[in-house]
Amino acid sequence: MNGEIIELTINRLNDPDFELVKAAKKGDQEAFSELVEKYSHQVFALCIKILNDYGEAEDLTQEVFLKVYKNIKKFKGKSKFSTWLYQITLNAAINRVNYLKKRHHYDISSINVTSVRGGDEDYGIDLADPSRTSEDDVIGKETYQIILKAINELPEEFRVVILLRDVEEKSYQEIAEILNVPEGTVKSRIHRAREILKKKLEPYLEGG
Amino acid sequence: MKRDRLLKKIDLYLEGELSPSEAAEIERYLKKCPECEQELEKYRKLLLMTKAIAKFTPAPPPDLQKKIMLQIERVEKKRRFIISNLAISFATAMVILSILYLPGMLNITGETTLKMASSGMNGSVVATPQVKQIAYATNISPSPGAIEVAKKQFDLFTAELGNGSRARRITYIIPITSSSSWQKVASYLKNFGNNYKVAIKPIIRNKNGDYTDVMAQLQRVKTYNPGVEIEDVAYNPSVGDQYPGNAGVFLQISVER
Repeated sequence: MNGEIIELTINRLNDPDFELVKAAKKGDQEAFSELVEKYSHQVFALCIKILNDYGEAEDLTQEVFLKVYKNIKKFKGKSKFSTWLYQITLNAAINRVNYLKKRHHYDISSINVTSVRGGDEDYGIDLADPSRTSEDDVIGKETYQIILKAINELPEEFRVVILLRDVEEKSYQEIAEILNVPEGTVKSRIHRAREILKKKLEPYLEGG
Repeated sequence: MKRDRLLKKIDLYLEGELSPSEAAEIERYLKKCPECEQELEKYRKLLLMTKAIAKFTPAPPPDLQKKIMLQIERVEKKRRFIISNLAISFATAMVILSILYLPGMLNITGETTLKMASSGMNGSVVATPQVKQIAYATNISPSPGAIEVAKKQFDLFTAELGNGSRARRITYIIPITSSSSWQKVASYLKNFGNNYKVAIKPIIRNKNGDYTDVMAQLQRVKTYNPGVEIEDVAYNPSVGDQYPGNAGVFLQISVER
């Protein structure tokens, strides 16, 4: 009992979404809408990187939030809400990839991430658009496709950790929580993934 | 050996994830190993590249949030619809059940009440919509014609019992006007035979139409059982006199399979 109180207190302090989640649990749709506003971009971003398909990512993002809505009462607050959300997203995305692979001979590494439903420029970033390229950009469109292909060709357990760490910028601890594995495992998986990527991308890493 | 161990941590070093002592160890080693410096450089570039792809993530559709909330609203509406429909269906089912089967379901006594109302004296049958509560208008009097009417009603009751009704016992209420009518009813009931268990008891109907058990108020009344001679059954008219008009003394007769 005491442990539970302490845990809840810690989560109240640590989880910036504590109050919103609490309200959403009571059926406050506005609170839930705020959570959607806050996280839909991130969920979509993770979905599109795992699925590599704009339309599928959009559908899956909706599905994820629906799942969250239906299950929010079951969320005990033992982790941050965002961690729980990432767990749901990740599981849903991996399930979807497996389903697509089975049903449609889906090749995750060959789909162009910039293919956008409806072809509307606003619906995505046109990587060829020079106005999008700032001096800060380290890579061009072509390199981007090559990196993404290399990541997508990684075995799933490595692909997921690289996406969470490098693309989603999650901490090692958060990744460990999301995947429910020890932090040491996350570190070794990430290192292993980077070794593979380093080999694959060797030509792009040489020279000054 | 040491080199391999340190290279395994090189990306953690680049990310600033090592403790100061571990980082210092790597730095010392790197100074002595130009090859390791090159490795470090490759990892540095790799990290820049992988981290840079976040910048190229396509933006979600501008109406994504709206779509999510619309979908949630739809689900919520559907849920409410199902819940309210379930409630309505449940209530409807209960009403139908209570109309059709409740008398049978409550079959500890399993009663269907068939009332012989005293108001209609012409022998017509009036059916109310509730729970097979049929008001049989009849008049039991010493006259042979009235007894004939009553007999017909009893036949209807027994048909009701035998005809697929779930009720196991039918209770009907007939007005009595004198102790002789009571006697006649009682002797008629003997003809039901042993297939049915018949019980009679006097009740009083007040002006509001409510029936009250007045066993205690009547003299020497006994329940009737088939095969047992009716003895000592008498009607005390003074009780009925207290209830003029539609009120009066009635016999509640139960026929049970």
